[in-house]
Amino acid sequence: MLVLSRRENEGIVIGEGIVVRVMAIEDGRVRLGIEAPREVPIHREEIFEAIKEENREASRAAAEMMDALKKLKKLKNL
Amino acid sequence: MIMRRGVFAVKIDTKILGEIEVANESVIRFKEGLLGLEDFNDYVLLELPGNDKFFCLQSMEDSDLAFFVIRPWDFFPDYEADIPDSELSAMGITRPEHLSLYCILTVPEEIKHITANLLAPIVVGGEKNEGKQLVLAETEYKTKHRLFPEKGV
Repeated sequence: MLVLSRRENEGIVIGEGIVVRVMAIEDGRVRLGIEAPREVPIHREEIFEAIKEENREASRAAAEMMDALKKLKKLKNL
Repeated sequence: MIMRRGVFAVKIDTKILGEIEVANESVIRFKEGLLGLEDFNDYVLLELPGNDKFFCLQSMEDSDLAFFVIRPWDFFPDYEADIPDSELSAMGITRPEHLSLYCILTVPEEIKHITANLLAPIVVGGEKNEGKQLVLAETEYKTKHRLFPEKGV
């Protein structure tokens, strides 16, 4: 991993068209400004972790799916 | 692979319907897999007997791997998914009518607490029937939304 030190208002350039800038540093939090082309998705890392965990939890449905469907029908008269 | 009535069919093993045959063209290919399950790329969408709201997204590579999915608007009529044009064109989807969207359900012990992942819907479409799990940007949606919220809460 490349590690760089940056001060407030300094930035880094990644490839073509992506700039990450340190906007402010306060109380152990860093505010970052990110400029990137529209087609580059930008997400907080923990969002991905939450989705991976949700997928893993949901992927265990196979064995109980028909049972769940029966229960759902009972529940809502679907 | 079997060819029948001009259509190539593949046999797959499913947990819920046993061994079934599906048309080769109904295979949905997830180039990147689903998040956290990147090694599984081929799925089929199965209708579940006796209802038209719940479907099964079954892995072709592992019969134990299957997801319970819905079309979000059947349960969340106001649902909005802002899908970047770049994602659609990367999947070869040029017309919105060639696109389907599904959300994965998580089934807890108490069935009435069943939830849908509205943050990361699955887009399916294009000439090659590609699938991709998107992560919606700048949204309030989360990984768990109750299908049947309790009244007064």
